[in-house]
Amino acid sequence: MKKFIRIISIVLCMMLIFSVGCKKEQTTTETQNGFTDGVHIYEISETNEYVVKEGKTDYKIVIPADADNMIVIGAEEFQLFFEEATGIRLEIITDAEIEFSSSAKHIIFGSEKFMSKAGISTDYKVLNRNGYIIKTVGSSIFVCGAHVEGTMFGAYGLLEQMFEYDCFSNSAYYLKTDVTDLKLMNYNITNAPDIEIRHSGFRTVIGDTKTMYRMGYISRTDGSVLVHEASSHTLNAIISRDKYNTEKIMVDGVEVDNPDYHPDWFSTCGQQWCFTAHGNDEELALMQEVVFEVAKNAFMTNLKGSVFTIGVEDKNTNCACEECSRKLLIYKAPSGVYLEFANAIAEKIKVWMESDEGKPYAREFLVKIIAYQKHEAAPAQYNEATGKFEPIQGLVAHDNVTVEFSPSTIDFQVSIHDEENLPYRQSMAQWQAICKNISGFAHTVNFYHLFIPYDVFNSKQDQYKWLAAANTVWFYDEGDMRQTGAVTGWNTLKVYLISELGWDVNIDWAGKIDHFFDKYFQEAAEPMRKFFDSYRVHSKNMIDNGGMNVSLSINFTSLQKKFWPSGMLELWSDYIDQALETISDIKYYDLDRYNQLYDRITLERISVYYMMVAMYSDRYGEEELLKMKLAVREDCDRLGLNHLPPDLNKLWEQWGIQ
Amino acid sequence: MKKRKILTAVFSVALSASTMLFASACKEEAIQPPVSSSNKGEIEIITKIDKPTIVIDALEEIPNATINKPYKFFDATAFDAYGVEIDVNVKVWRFYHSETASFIDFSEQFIPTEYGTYTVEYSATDKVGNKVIETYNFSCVEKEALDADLDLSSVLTECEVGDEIEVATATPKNFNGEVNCKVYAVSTNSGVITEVVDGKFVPTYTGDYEIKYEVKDYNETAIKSYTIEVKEYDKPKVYGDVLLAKYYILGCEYKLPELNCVSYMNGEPAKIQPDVYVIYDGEVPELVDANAFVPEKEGPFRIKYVATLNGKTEERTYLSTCVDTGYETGIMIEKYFYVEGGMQVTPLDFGVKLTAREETCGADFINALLSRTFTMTFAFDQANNFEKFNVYFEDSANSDIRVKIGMFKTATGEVQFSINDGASTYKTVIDFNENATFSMNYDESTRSIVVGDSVPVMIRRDLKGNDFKGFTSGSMYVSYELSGVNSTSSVSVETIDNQTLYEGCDYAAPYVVYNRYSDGYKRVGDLIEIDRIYIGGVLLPNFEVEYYAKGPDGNAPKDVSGIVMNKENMMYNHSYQFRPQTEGKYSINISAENPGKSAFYSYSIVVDDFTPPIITLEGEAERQYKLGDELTVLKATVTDNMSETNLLCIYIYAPDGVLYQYNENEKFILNQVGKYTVYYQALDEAENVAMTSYTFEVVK
Repeated sequence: MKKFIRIISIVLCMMLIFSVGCKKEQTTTETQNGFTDGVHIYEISETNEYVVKEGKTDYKIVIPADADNMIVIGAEEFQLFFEEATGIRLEIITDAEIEFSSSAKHIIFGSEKFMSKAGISTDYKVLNRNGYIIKTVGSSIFVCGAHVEGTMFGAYGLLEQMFEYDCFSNSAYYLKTDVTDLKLMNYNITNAPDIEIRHSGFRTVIGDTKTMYRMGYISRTDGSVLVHEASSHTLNAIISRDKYNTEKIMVDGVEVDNPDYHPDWFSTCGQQWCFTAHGNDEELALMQEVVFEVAKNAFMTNLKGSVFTIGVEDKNTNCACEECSRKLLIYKAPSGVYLEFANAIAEKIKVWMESDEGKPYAREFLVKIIAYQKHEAAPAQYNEATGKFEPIQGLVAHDNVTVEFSPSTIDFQVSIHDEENLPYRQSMAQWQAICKNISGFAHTVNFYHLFIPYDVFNSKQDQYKWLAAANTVWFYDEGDMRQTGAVTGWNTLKVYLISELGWDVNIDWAGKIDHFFDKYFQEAAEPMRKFFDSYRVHSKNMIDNGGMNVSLSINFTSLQKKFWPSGMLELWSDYIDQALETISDIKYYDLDRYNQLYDRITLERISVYYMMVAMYSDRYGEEELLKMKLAVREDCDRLGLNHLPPDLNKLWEQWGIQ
Repeated sequence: MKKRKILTAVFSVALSASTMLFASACKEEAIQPPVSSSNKGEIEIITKIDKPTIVIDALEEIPNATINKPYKFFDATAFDAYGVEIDVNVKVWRFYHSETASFIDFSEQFIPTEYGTYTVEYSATDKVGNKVIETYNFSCVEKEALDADLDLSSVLTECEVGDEIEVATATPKNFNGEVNCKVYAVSTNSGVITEVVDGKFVPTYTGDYEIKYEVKDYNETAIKSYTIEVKEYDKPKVYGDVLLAKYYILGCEYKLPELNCVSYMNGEPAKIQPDVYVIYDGEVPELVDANAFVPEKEGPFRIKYVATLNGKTEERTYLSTCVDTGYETGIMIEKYFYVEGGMQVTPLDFGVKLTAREETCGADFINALLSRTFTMTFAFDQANNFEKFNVYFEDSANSDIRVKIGMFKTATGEVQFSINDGASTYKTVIDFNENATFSMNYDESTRSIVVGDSVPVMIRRDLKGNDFKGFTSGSMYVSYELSGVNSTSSVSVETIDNQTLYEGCDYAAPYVVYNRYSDGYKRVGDLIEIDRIYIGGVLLPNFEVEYYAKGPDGNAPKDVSGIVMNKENMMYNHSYQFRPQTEGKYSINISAENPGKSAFYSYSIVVDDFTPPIITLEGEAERQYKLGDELTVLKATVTDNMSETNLLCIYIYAPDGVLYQYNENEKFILNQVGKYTVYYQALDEAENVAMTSYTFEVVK
C-alpha cells in the first residue's frame, strides 16, 4: 500500500489563519501576524525497500572526502542516534572511496560529487544558511544544505522522519527505539528556518555544542556568524575609549600627548560615540577608516563569519553635539546618523570585497547596528496619504546593513499585537520601511528572578510570527545565560518551544506542548500537565488582572506574595508529589529512566520550593522548611543550577544550608 | 529477656545454602518481572537492583519450644532496595536441610508436636522478583513447667508502716532462653499494688502485703508469692533531706524547700507540715513562715524542721549562709562573689575583678543560675601570672553533679581548655595577656560548652567520672578559681546571662529562656505543643511570672486536659498541648518581673484554613460547537468552608495553545477549529486554590 503524504506548511498556515471572525470584545486569534512565506515542504511516500529489515541493514553513511566539520558532526550524530534506535552502527565512508550508483544503499551528507551525479542541487536563496533538502534517489537518501550548517541540520531532519527524533533540552530527547524494520521512504523534503540565523539565549543550550545543534541553533558568538569577537555592544572593542578618547598617555613613565586622541569620535555624554564626529568631516572619515580596518581584518582572519556588528553601548544615551542635533531634527531619531555611519562602513566593505585584495574574502555579509534604547526609533516618517512609513531624505539602510531591533522595555508576557505594544510595532514598521534586513533581540526570562516562572507561553508565537513577517534574518532570544546544567520555572519547555519556533513560526503550539508532556514527563505527564495548566491560568490571570503586566517585566520584582499565593504554590507542590509518586515504581525495572524522570520533575520543583521558602517560610515547621531548602539545594547542585542573582551561595548562607 | 539484636548478619551464611536447596520452592512463588509502562511499549530488561533485606527482631539466645505448647516466632520486617517495606512470609520446617524437608501448616498458633529441630524460614520478594530468605533453628524439648525458688531465709515477715522493706530474691527454674521477673507488693486492706523496684518498697498501709513474683520466659509465666504483716507506727516518718540554697541574700524573701514528713496513723498516709525555725549564731530558734522566709542577719545560720505527731517529734537541721548584698540599701556587686580568703573581689567600672592572693584561690557566685543556657563574659586584665583559670558548674540540688572547665596556656603559648582535667584539650583564641572580653557559653540541650571562639565541646562525664546528663535540677552554682598563681593575677567577670556586673549596676530583668514555636502554620484541631519556659534571676532569685495564651477572639484556649490557658492556670515550668478550635493568630505570652525590672516576650502560632474552595458547575456542557459559534461557559458557583469572598477566574485554552480570559459580559466567538478547554480557578481568602475544567470541540 502506497501512502502519499504531502504536507505543505504554507497551506496549513492558511488553514490556521482562516478563522478571521475576530471580534473586538473577545477573540482567540490574531490576523495581522500571519507569516506564510516559510519553506517547509514535505513530500513523502513509501517505497518497497527497507533501510532496516529484521534488524539488519546494508546502508552506509557517505560524506565528502574533504567534509567540513559541520558535515562530519551531522553524519556522526546521525550514526549515533541511528544506532540508538536500531542497534545498528552505520559505517561512515567518504565519496572518494566509492562512486554513486542509484542502487547503492547510501545515506549521503552534502557530497557535491554524488549530488551532481544524481542531479541534485541546492539553492541558497531558498535554503539560506541552515535550510536543507532530503531527497531519495534510487535506494540512496541525500541530505544537503546550501551551506554546511544546513547539511548538518538535515541530519536531525532525517532522524526526525525516521525515528521521530526530537530534542527537548541538553539532557532530554526522544526517539523510537528497538526499531527492527524501517521502510525506505521516497523523500522530497525542503525545510528552511523561517528566521535565517537563530541564536539561543540559554546557556543550557549553547553551553553544549551538540545540544545547540540538536535544538536547531547556531552559536551567537562563534566565528561562523560573527567576524568580531564581541557580540552586541561592540563599539568600545572597535574604537576603544582608552585608545582614542584619552588625551594624555604614559610612555616610559612620562605623560605625553596621545597621538591617537580623537575626541570628536565620542559623544558629548562620553558614554557613546559620535557618528558625525561633531561635524568634522576629516575626523569622520578617519573614524570610518578605523572601523573599516577592524572589519577588514576580521573578515580576513575569520573566513566563515558573515556579520560585523557596530553596536552602541548598553546606555540609554546618544550624542548631543551640534551636528548630531542638527541631524536629529532632520531624521527625527538619533539612529539616523548611526545608520549613515553603518551604511558608509558597509559600502567600504563591499568595495573592498570587490577589490583584488578583498576578493579572496568576499562573501554574503551584513553590518549590524542595534536599535536599542535611544537608538530604538528609526529615522523614518509616517505618510498619512499613503498610510505608510517612508524614508527621510532618502536615507535607507545599505543592502548589507541589518538593524537589530531590540526593545527592552516591552512586556514580553503579552502579545506583540496587544494594544499596549503598538509603539513597538510602529517602531518596527519604521525600520522595515528603510531596511530590508531586520534582526531581532528579545527576552524570555525575568533576569531578576531566574528561579521564578516568566510567562511567555501566550505571547511567544505571535512574536516569532511577527518577526518572520518582518523578514527577520537574525534573531537572538535572550534567556537564562547563567545556569549551566538546567533551568527551572517551566523554562525547559520554553526553550524547547522557542527552538521549534525559530524554524517554523507556525508550529502547532498546543500540539508541541502536548508532545512535550507526553514524551518528556511520560508516566508523570498528567500531574505535571495539571501543574502547568494551573500555572498558566494563574499567571495569565496575574498578567491580565493582578498587576504583573508591567513595562520592563524582564527586570521586575515578581517575588511578591500577591503574585504567588501560598495555596497556589502548595497546590503545585502537591502535583509534583503526585508526579513523583506516579514514577516511583519505575525504579524497580528501569533505574536510569526513573532517575531521568525524577530529575525532570524535581527540576520544576526547584522553582516552587524556592518561592515557598522565600515568601512563606513562617507557614512551615522548621523540619519541613529545612527539607524544602535542602531539596532546592540538592536539586540545584545535582542538576546544575548555579546562579541566582545576586548570589546563589549567599542564598544558601541566608537559608542556613551553606 | 529485653536484649534483642538483628539477626540478618547471623543467618547470612546459612542463606546461600538454603536458597540453593529450596530453589524449587522459591520458584513456585517467583514473581514475574513487571511490564514497563514506558512509551517504548515493550517489555524492558529489568535493571538489576539490590535484593531486599529481612530484619528479624530476635532474642540473643533462641529459646526452645516445649512440646505441645504454643511457640511464637520472632517478628520480622522486610524492605526492598529503596527502603520500602514489603511483605514477609513465615514458614516452619522440619528437616530443613535434608531431602525429607517438609513445612508444617499452622493457622494462628504454632504448636510443635514432635521433639527435635525445627527451622523457621522468613522470605520476602520485591516488586521485580528479587527474593531473599532468612532462617533460624529452634529445638523442641520436654521440660517441667516454669517455676521460681524464693529465698525467704533472711527476709522480714513483719514491719512497721513507712519502713523501707527488702523483699526476698527469686531464682527462676525450668525456663527457656531469657527469663524476666517482676515483683509487686499488694496491700490486702487497700488493694493498692506497688511495683517493687530494686528489691525494695515502702508499705504505706497497715495489714498484710502479698509480695507477688511474676516470672516469664519466652513461652510461659509462673506466679509465686509470700506475705508480710505491716504494723502501725505512731510517730512522723521523715523521708530524705532538703537542700537549702548555699547562700541567702539578706532581706530577700525566699520560699524554703519542703521536708517530706508523713503520718501513717489513720489508714491512709497523710502529709505532715513541719514547723520551720531559723537559728542565727548565738540566738534562740525563731519560728518562720517557710513560704516567705526573709533572712535578717548576715553570716552562717541554721534552719530547723520539726514534725510533730501525737506529741512525738522528728527534727532535721540544715546550715546555710546569709550574705548582705545591699538588697535594701543599694547593690554591692562584689558581695555576690563569696570568698573565704585568698581572693580579693573588687567592683570595677565594668566587671567584677577577682584578684588572687594565694597560689590557689576561688570565689563562688552566690546565686544558683539557670542552666538551660548559661552565658558569661570575662576578661584577663593583668599579665599571665597563673597556670589555670577554672570555672566550676555544680547542680544546685545535687553537689555530685559538678563540672570543671579549666583554661591554661600550653608550652607554645596557646590557650586551651580541658573538661574535668581530662586529657583532651581544646583550642580557644583567648589570650591570658590580652585585655579583651571573652565568653563562655553552656547549652543544656546539647550539654556543650563553648569557650571563646572554640567549637562546641560536649560534656560527657562529671568531675567524679560519672555520665553527665546535664544539671537535672535546672539550675547550677558557678565558682571561679585561679591556680598556680605565682604573683598577682586576676580575672574580671563582666556579665552573667543578661546581667551586667559593675559597681553601682542595676538589677536586670529576669532571665527568660524559651523556644519560640516553629512548627509552621497549623490547622484547626491540630495538636500544638507549647514548650515549658525557663526563668532565672542572676542577682535576684525571686521573680513573678505571668504566662498565658490568647486565641484569635482574645480569650484563652483550653489545653487538652481542659485547663484554660490563662494567667491563673498556666505555669511557666510546665509544657502544654492544645487543639485550636478556630483559625487565626494565637499568642503565647510571658511576663516576668523582679523588684528591679520586668521582661515581656510573646510569640504567635497561626492556625490557618487549608481547605480549598469548591467549584460547582451548573448544567451539562456542550461538547461540540461550530466554527463561529458564540461560547457560553457553564456557570460556576464557588463555596468555601470559611471564606465568604472567593476569587474566580475563567480562561479558555484555545487550539492555538493560548489562554484567553473569559468575561461573561462579552461575547466569546469560537474562531478556531479544534479542542478547547475551559478552566475555572478559584482562590479563597486563605489563598487555598481549586481548579476544574472541561473540554469541547469546535468543528467546521
